[in-house]
Order: sequence, then C-alpha cells, then structure tokens
Amino acid sequence: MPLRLVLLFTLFCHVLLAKPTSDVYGGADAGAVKGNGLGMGLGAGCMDVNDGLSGFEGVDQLSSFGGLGKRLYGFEGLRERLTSVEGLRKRLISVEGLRKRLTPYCSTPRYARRPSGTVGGTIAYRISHIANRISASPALCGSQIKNQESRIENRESAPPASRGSQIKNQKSRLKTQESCALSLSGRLLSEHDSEPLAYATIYGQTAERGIQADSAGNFTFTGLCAGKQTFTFTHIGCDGESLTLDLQRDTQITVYLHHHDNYTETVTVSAAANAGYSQELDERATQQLSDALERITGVSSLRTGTSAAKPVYDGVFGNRLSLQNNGIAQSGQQWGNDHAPEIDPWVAAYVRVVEGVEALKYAGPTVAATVLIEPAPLREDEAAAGKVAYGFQTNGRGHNLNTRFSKGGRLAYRFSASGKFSGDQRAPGYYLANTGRREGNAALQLAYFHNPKWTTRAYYSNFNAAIGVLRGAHVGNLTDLAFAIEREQPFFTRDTFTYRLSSPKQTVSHHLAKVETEYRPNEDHRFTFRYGGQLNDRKEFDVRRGELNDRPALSLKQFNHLFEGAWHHELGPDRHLDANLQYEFTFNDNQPGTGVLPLIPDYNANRASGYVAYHQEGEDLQYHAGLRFDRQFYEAITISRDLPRRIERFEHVFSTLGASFELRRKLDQRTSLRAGLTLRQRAPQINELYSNGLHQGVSGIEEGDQFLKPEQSLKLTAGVLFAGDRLTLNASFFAQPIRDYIFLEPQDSFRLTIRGAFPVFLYRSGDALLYGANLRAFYVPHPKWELDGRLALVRGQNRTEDAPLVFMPSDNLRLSLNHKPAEGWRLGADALFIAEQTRLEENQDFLAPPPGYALFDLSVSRELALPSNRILHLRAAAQNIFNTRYRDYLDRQRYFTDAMGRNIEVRISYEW
Amino acid sequence: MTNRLNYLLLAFVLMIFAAGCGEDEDPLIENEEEVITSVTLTFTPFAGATETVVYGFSDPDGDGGSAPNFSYTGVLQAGAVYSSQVSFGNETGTIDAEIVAEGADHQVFIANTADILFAYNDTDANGDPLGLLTTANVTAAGTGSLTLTLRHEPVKSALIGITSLDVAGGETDVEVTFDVTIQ
Repeated sequence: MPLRLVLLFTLFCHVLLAKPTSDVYGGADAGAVKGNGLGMGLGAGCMDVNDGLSGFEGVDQLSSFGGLGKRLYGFEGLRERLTSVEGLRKRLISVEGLRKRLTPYCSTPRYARRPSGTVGGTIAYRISHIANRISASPALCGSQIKNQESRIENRESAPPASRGSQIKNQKSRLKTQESCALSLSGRLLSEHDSEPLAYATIYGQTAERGIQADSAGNFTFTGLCAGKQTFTFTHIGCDGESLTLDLQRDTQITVYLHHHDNYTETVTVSAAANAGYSQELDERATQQLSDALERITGVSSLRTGTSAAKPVYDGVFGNRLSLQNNGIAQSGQQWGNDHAPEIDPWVAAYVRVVEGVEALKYAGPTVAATVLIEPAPLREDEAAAGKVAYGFQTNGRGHNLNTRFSKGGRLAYRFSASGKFSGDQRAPGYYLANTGRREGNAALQLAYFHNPKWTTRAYYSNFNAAIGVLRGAHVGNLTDLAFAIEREQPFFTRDTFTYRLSSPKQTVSHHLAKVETEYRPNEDHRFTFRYGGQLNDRKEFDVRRGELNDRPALSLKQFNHLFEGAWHHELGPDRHLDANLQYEFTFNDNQPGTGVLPLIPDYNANRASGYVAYHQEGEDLQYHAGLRFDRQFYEAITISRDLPRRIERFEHVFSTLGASFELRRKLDQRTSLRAGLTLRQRAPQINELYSNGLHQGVSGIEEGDQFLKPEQSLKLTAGVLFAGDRLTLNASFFAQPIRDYIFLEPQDSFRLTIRGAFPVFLYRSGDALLYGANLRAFYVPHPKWELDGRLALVRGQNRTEDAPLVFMPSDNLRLSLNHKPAEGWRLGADALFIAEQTRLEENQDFLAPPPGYALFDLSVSRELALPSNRILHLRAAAQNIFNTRYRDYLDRQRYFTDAMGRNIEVRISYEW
Repeated sequence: MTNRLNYLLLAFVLMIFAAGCGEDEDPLIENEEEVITSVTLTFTPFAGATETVVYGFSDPDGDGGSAPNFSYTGVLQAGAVYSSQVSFGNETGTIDAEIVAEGADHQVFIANTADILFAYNDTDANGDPLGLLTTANVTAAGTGSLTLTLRHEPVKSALIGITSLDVAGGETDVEVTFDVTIQ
C-alpha cells in the first residue's frame, strides 16, 4: 500500500515537471524592479562589465563616469534610471541574451542561485559585483557577517582607536556636515531558500531610527551620515543579524537571514548587537546540544547527571518532542530518558523550536513542537573560510578541539570535526566517579549548483561518543536506592581524578546521510527530493559479573530511511503553498550477545505521510494553515517473558492527523499579536506498546500496553510581541489538553524478583492538561549594553489520576547581561533561578523534589583582528562561579549526587 | 535535465523496493548467563539438631512472567548451631564457583528478625569475608524473616559485618526474603 502511494507520487511529480516552463521570467512585478536585486553575491570577479552593459539604454550611464570609484557615487542615479526606463523590462525579458553577454566578462562565472525576482534584478546583480569590488560593501551571508565585517574594516582602514576619541569625533562631525545624504539599500532574503523576506525591519543603531522593507524584501535607508554605522536586520521568525559598515558612499547589500515560517519564539531579539547567533553557538560547542537549546525560552533539560541531557519544551520531551537534524527526523532510541540526542552542537549553526504549522512539515513523534538543528546553508558566493578552536574546561579537565572549513563555488563544501576528551567531573566537594566523556564527530556538507534552477546538496555526519555514567548511580534494587538517597556523597566516590571510563557507560555511534536535490523550474515552483538515512548504534554497559562486564547489557541498532518529495509554490508576493510527501521505514534490532532479554523488542516500522500548508504573509496580517496525515505501521517482534521463551509478532496500524492554524496581526509598527490552534495526534511508540521488564535507571518494572490508542492533543497558543527600538517584549501563553495521554501508572502491588520487590508501572492512557507561559524581555539601554530576561512557567495535570504530571520543569528565570566595553571586547553575566517543584505529590517520587537554586556564570571574550582578514577569538568563562551545591528536579541522578560544581573554561579560536 | 530527474526518481523508487522487501529474521533469544534465578540456603546441623533445613527461592523466567516460588524443607531448632551454605544458580547450573573466583567483588549479607546469629565462615582471596559459608547460631524459638543479599562490588573489609548493608555499597544482585520459623 505505501509503495503504491510512492508510485502515485512519482507519477504526480512527472506530470508537474513535464509542464513546459515557458514562464520562467514572467510574473515579475514592477515594484520589484525598483530596488530588487541591487542585492548581490559577494566578491565575484566580474572584471569589467561596462562593455557588456553599455549597449543597453539606461545602463550606459554607468560607463560615462571616469573611474570605477566615481561610478559608485553615481549609483543612486543609475538606480533611478533603471527604474524609470520604460520598456527596459520588456527588452530584458529575453534575458538569456543578456546573461550570455555578461557571463564572459566574469573571471569566475557566477550564477544567481535562482533568477532574481525580475530581469532588472539580474542586471543589478551583475552590476553589484562591480560595486562590490570597489566599495567592498559586504554581502551579508548569514553567519559570515562577522568575517566580512572585519574584512571591510581592514580594507577601509577605519581610523585607529589610538588617535583618541576627540579626533575621531571631530572627524565624524566633519563627515556629518559633509554628507548626511547617503543611502543604504538592498534586499533581505531567507538564507534557507532565498525567498524574499517581506516587511523585514532595518534598524540603524547609529542613526537611531528604523525602516521597513517592502513586500519583496527591498529596502532603502536614506539620509545616512558617512562613517561607521551599525544596522540590525530583523524579521519575524528570523535570527536578527547586525552589521557595521563604514559608509562612504551609497551602498547596496543583500542580507540573508535565517528564516523559518512562524516561529514559536521570535529569535530575532536574541542575536542583536553584540554577538552573532552562530558565533554564540560556537562558544557552546564544548557543551551538550541541550545546553545550547536551553537558551530558547521555554526549553529546559531533562538530565541524567552529566552523561545525558534532552530538551523539554513546554513540559513535553522524548516521544512528544521530535528533533530534526538538518531536516531529517533524528532517529534513535527516543524512549530512553538517559539517551541524549546524538548531535554535535559544533555542526549546528542554528537551533530552535518550532510548532504549529511549521512543525507539521517534519516527521517524528510530537504533540506540537519540534526542535530544528541545522548547519548553515552553503552558498555559491561564499568565500573560503575556516575556523579552528581549542577549549579547556577545568571541571572534568576536558579538552575540546573543533575545526570547520568551507568554500563556496559551483561545488561548495563545509567540513566540520570536533573531538572531546574529559575525565571525572566534580561536584562541590567531590569527584563524580566515572563521568568522563569521549566524543569524535565529523560532518561533511556539499552543495552542487548545477545551474540557476537546479541545486543538489549532500550531507553526511557521524557522531561517536563514549559516555561514562556515575558509578554510584548504578543500583540493583530499591534497598540500594534507599541507601544511596541517604548518603551525602555517592558510593564509589574516589579521592582522585581520572580520565578512565569503566562500566556503567554508553557508547553511541550515529550516522546520518542525506541527499537532496532542488529544482526550480521557474520563479513560482520549487521541488525538492530528499533522502535521509540513519544508522544508530547504541550500546550500554552495566556493571556485570566477570567477562560479562565487557559485553553490553543493551545493544541496539536502528536503521532508518526517509524519502521525501516537497513542493513549494509561490502564489503571490506574500502567499505561498508548501506540501510534501514522506515515506519512512525503520528497522530496530537488538543485537544478540548481550545475555539480557531486551526491554524494548525488535521492531519494524513504516510510515507514509502527506502535508500541505498555506502561508499568507501580508504586512499587517499573516496567517498559516496546515494539514498533515500520517499512516504508521509497526511490527513488533517480542520474546515472551514466561517459559518456554517464544517469539511473537504483533502488528499495528495507526492513522494520525495533524492540523494547525496560526494568525499574526500587526497592531502598529511595534506591536503584534499572534494566536494558534494546533491539533496533533501521536501514535503510541514502541516502548509504550511493548516495554517489558526492569528499567534499571528508574528502579521499576515497566510494562507496555498493546491496546493504546493515539494521543490527541490540542494546543492553543496566544502571544503578544512588542518590538520597540530598545525594548522587545514577547509573551506567549499556551494551554494544551491531551486526550488519551499515555503515562506510566504506578500499580499498588509490587513485583517480587530475585533482587527484591520492585514497583510496577503500566502504560495507561488518560486525560492530561498542560498550560503555561513564556515571557521574554530584551532591552538595549545603550548600544553597548544588552539585558535579556526569560521566564518560563509550565503546569501539567493528569486529570485521570488527579495528580500533577511528573518531570514538569519548575518555574525558571534566566537573566543575562552583555556588555561591549570596547571594540572587540565582550563581557557577559548570566544568572539562572530555578524554583522548587512543589506541584508533586509525595507518593509520586522516591524522593521529594530538591529545593530551588540559583547559578551564576561570567564570561569575557576578546576578538582580535589579525592581518589579512584573520580573526583570533579568546574567551574565558566560568559557570556556577560560586560553586553552589544543588540538585535539580529534572536531573534523574538527583537521588545520588549533587550536580556539577564550578567550571572554568578557556577557549581560543582562530578564524580565517 | 528532465531526463536526469527521471533517473533520480527511478532510483528513488528502486531504493524503496530494495529496502522495503526482504523478510525479517526472528531475533535470537538471549542465553541469560548472568541472571541469577535460584537461591538456596542450606542449614546443616553442627550441634543440637539432626535435621537439615533448606530454604529455596526460584524464579526461572526472570523478572517478568510468572511469580517466583519459595520452598521450605525442615524447621530450625532453637539452641542448635548450623553450618549454613548459600548457593546461587541459573538455568546453566550453579554459579557459586564464579562467585568464589570473583570473591573480592562479591559479598553475601544475611539479616534476620528471628533469633539467629550469623557469622562469616569463609574469606575471599584478600582475606575479607565472602559469605557463601556461614555459621548460624539459633538462640530462641519464634518466627520472623531472613533477608539474604548478594552484593556486587561492595566496599570490602574485615570490619564490614554480615548485616552492614548500609555501609557496604555496591549493587544488589540478589535480595531474597524468607519466612523463618524456629521451634
């Protein structure tokens, strides 16, 4: 049945592709000609396009200027001419001719990734290359901005700071008088798919005012004074980027922002003035992925001591919060709370949580949201760049080495690799025995730009880790647990530090290979075919007798293949349609030789799904509507628990529906409201259906229920965003009733085993209600200061049991202060306040939730510009500076030990 | 180019064929060598009694499945002294030899609420108590319970008594509670 579906889909695609593509350059609207495409790629070496261009009326103006430098001053005029020349557009409809004429003049042939919005755009694209060469006005390439920026500064030789501020002031005042009539114009595009970002905001920090782009992402910022100016580019649902330019003349730029439709959170505000988003993420490369995710409002981590952390968003995690690694649903053993996502944060340039319509696009089990982890897209016009970083952490005496290098071109690539080596971590007062960690990861990203219409991308990543688990947290039964809880320090605490790893430990190896090809027959359609294959190989070693110690007690291999065909259709300047079809299969096999009956049986799964969404993104009103259907098939191959052991096969088919509608209304230039309603059904996962046995980590016997039905969740969200010049406020609220919510119900009776009696938990379904609020405030009192506050509140109630849901994050507040005292310097202070989780009944846990706590972090970093565009970053940071003793409710090792104490980190990185 | 795309699509479909077919093999049923499924505590009279007393526990299918069985043979006599021996086994037979060989990583603890005084009667390679062999001094008649615990990787020292589970650490491999009747 699913195969038939795919064949049908294939046929469907043929029909679409066979359609003649005569309207390739049609559909350009006059408005777009104006400024559109004054955007450019960076640094292509068009030697001299004058000859090529001068044949056209309106463009010959260009060659009438003496030198190239002078020519630029006349750019304003050129643009006006371009816009005003009647018939120009018509003439250029046959743009192939123009293209041919232009290309030979370029030393390195460059293609726009896709034809820019209009013909005018294409010309301008070429012209802008010249502009580029002369003024070195940067093309902003997402995370590359910082590079470019400093390069420009180098070239333009900004007045050295040593001259003293007085001179500088005088100089700039002089300039002000001279020329406060400069303009900055250009276009804002989505880094992801080069779609224009309508109604984006451009704020000139120096000028202290802002403007807005039009529906095609074009903007013109006029009346600017010469000199250094900092601009911040933001768009709803984007990471903002800021850029400092030394304006000497009218300048055109293209800005790429990392954009996703309708975010959960407007990340915009997070990456304002002081640090670029991916740079900040780079600095967190020494940590686990979940630590990087925690900077998103509403995200907490469910931890297993120092060894594993997985994200919790709005009170849901694991089987209810899927993760997308570079667009492919991360496939692994999601059921294990001690299984961290197998993703290297160094590879990721962007991490975020999306929900509602945007989340419908992706595979993986979820009740509303999904976490996106993505590397920066490769672009053809990207210059060769690289970064190598080394970091040392005192806690665990960890060494971290990261490297990344990339190059644009017709075949663009980026290679990343990272290694971690650390030993026993330390809680205040003692070492945590056996908490070392080894990691070796690599990723290769390739993109081949066949022609302006066709791009193929490939990606391969490999994550390998050996992770020690606190020795004292390994318990055999409830008596052990009771003894462990009573102790101040865990059993097996050693007085000395060691790098040695022994059982209990986990080794994980995860491979992801992805190939996708994207075809844009014309301006309005984009087709993408995608394959993602994953192999997850997880082994867990318990403390066992004799030789068995070297054999894993759990050994799982999971193969997962995902095929996807996606279609993006532009219906108008601010309307588009998105659709995809996916087919996925999973083989999960316990590897023989463990000597232990598996907790989770072998299984095979197939899933076929379809998704469609409509996006209307007007200036004042945006709405999105999406629909998703999944048909999921499981075959579980279980081993009977009674004797003689038998193999039994069970089959299940689940059909689930997802639907979402989201609305965003702009009240005025600063305030907007949003609301969303999302229905998601989630098919029960294999652990919920077939778990059987003792879950060592939780000291309980867990039994699945084959008769569970899909969960039905309805999530209502509402929010208000105020984006002022200095202050941004974002408040969002949600309520999420879930019917047939699957949970572990503790049973009254204990089960007697040879290790004593264990509590029994059965998977049951009931009704649950989650609700909460996320509040965010971002305040820039002065360009050199940033204040950020994030408050997350979430409540969960199991209405069937009339008891609170377990593993709900307690109320938490994160505050951070950033200061940029001088060029190249950055200081940061962070505080985290976690309240005690009081909403839990006594009989719901072995130990009452720990008291609340506060942690403080400090960091200082220095960026040094070296000759020939090299940058040296130095960073020192301290986490938990007061060496506070604490235990966290969401840490499953809180029964055994205090959490990690103070850590001082030094990091040096070199960028070219 | 449309042609090339067609090939891609063809490959796409073929891959699904290739990967989607193929019958899945049955998983191997693990030989659970590590699991301990039986415990026997044998009291051999040393003085003051004649009858050998055997307490048995057996759970052949492990943690799940059917409930474990207890068996009791004979009755302990007040005032008698027994030489007691613990034996652990699973489907492959007794694993006592394995425990003796790894004596330094194991220790048996016996605690009871009846009036029996247990004392270690064997040692591991380091001279620390092991507990497979003990002496049981039954002092008075009555009833109660007896908990036998096998710990893996406990803190071993001559100072750790037969009931000092709390300071011993390690993790429990066996914890079985028998009912005790003393005549």
